[in-house]
Amino acid sequence: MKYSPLKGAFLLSLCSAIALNAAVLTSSQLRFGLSKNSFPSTLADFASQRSEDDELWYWLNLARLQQANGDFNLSIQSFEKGYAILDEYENRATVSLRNLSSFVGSALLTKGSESYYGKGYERTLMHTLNALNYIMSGDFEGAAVEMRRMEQRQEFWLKESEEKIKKAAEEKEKAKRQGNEIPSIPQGYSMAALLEDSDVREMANNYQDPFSYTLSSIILDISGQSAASGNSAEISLKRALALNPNVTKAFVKSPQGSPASVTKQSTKMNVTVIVLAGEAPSLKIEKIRFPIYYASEYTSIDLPSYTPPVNDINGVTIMSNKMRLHPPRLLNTDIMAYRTLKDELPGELAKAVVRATTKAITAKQASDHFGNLGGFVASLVMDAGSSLVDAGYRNWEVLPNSGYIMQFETKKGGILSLSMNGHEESLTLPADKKGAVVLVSYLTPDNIRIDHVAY
Amino acid sequence: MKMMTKTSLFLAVGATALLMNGCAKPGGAGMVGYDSTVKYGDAKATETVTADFGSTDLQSTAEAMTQSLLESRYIIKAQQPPKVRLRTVNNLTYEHIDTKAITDKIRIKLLKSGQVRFLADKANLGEVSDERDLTTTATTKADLKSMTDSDYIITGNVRSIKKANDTVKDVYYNISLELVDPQSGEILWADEKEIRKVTSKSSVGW
Repeated sequence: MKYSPLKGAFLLSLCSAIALNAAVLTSSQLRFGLSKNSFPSTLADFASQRSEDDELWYWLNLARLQQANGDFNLSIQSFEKGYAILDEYENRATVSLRNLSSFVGSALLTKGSESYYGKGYERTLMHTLNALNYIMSGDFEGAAVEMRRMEQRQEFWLKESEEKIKKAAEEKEKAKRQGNEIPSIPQGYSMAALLEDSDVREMANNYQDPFSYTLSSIILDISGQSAASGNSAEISLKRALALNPNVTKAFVKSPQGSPASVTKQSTKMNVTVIVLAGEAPSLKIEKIRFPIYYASEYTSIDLPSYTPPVNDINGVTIMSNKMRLHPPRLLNTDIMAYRTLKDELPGELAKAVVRATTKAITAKQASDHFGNLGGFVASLVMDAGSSLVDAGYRNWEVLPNSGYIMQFETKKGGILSLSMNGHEESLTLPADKKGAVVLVSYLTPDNIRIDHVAY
Repeated sequence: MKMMTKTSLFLAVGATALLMNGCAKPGGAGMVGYDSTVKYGDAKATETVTADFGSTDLQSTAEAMTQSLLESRYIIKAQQPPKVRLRTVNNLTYEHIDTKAITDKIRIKLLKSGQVRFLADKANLGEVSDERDLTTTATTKADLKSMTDSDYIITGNVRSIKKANDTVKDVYYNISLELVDPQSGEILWADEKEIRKVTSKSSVGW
């Protein structure tokens, strides 16, 4: 029996991939295991499955699950584990053998052989969500540190992103010179229409969001650090406004004559409501398969793609002291994810073409040696092998898809009601504090958690 | 043919290694279980494990600030040791620094000098008051006044600036303290301690 190098390679990778994938909850098991009844077991299973604990996505997903469960200190620890992975990545040697082998692997074999180190919006939002953990623990100074880290983190992403865009342009130019024009978006790609959406095209960039900057402004104001840090609350607010003018709607001053305004100052308090809802798009590798040569073999263009967000809401209504308020949606994670993909697509496409060509040549050689059936089997084995490896390429799948913020004055000790997609939740505000921050985690329609902290 | 088999095997292993690249442990801090031995070290030895604010920075800051404060005329020329309260030192850095560790160290050094008396800080005031309520029948307003009235307050900020390029990461810390007259709001003394830490990336590595 003849030994086939391809079969050997893919059988080995197949077994490894099966062993790896069997250990941890899949993306869909995670995203569809968030309802009230299944959430405790999903969290317990995910937390105990440590086979992927060297992956950034594992810690980010775990941190969000813990936060939505009210385990704020555990969530802080999980975010810190994620930071450690990212810090190590950002501080690698200028010529890193790991980065090099990852690049070669993803350029020649499968996209899934890359380790996922998060996109700009995820790296920003991990600090924003961790700031919420500190807020809920009553540590506003710690929350302010996270917001400063958020801005610091963006610098590395910007550099990394610019390098990728530059490299993609070079690849495209090179391909053009060789007579291989790479299309901007291939036919049959499921994301084609979404990437051309006006919201995606008009977004200022793929890593800065008005939600994080508005929250930063509020945190710096509450922590009393704004004046000591060069009026940083106002600077953050200006940045938020530059990204989305609707930020002005997040701050409500009671109009003269309204029930809230006639209340004496000493009986009023500042309330900030933050709603995080749904789960952001989850990453997958999409294969656009097409026949080659005599149609007995085939190859595929493998591109990153997203499954749509789940469990999101249409809006939030806040009812307090006879007021009805509608906080603006300031976080659109799906749009940021699509924008990132749009920006990175030329580079991804260039690599995908090289991978497809490598596979096509291998299939052709198999066909030459073993006939049409051999070529087809080679195509099939390569397809199956890369599909299994690609299944391990995951992102922050339980990152909230939308975020709402509103700050307003209301009566101390009053009732605050929130309505989201027909579900109404209420809480009693503290009677002896000057302010409160309310965090709502809407995971599914039947799994909504409200936490608050007074200051 | 034998050569062909060897090449095939090499290719197979190579391809799998590349595919498995994602499985490589990045070696991030905090998650790698390793065998370790425990031994005592010199608490005052210079610590350079990371560029983050560390024990050496804490010690050198407390040392420099205490020395400077004790040399100020408001302390050195006082007829009797003034009553001082340490207020919050704001952490305006990119790290979760326990600024209370800085103020605690400064307080200990100042108290040991015998030139300053300290009032319980805001966080401990409630506990001190509770203790008094337990040991006396009632806490009068005059008693409370002696617990809360300070001659001076000490406050400050810890700031940092981070810069990085492809090969070098530079972190600059500035720790500033002020001695303030709480009645007039006048700043009577101020000093700062600056720390710069530079880390270099290796050119080639894993």
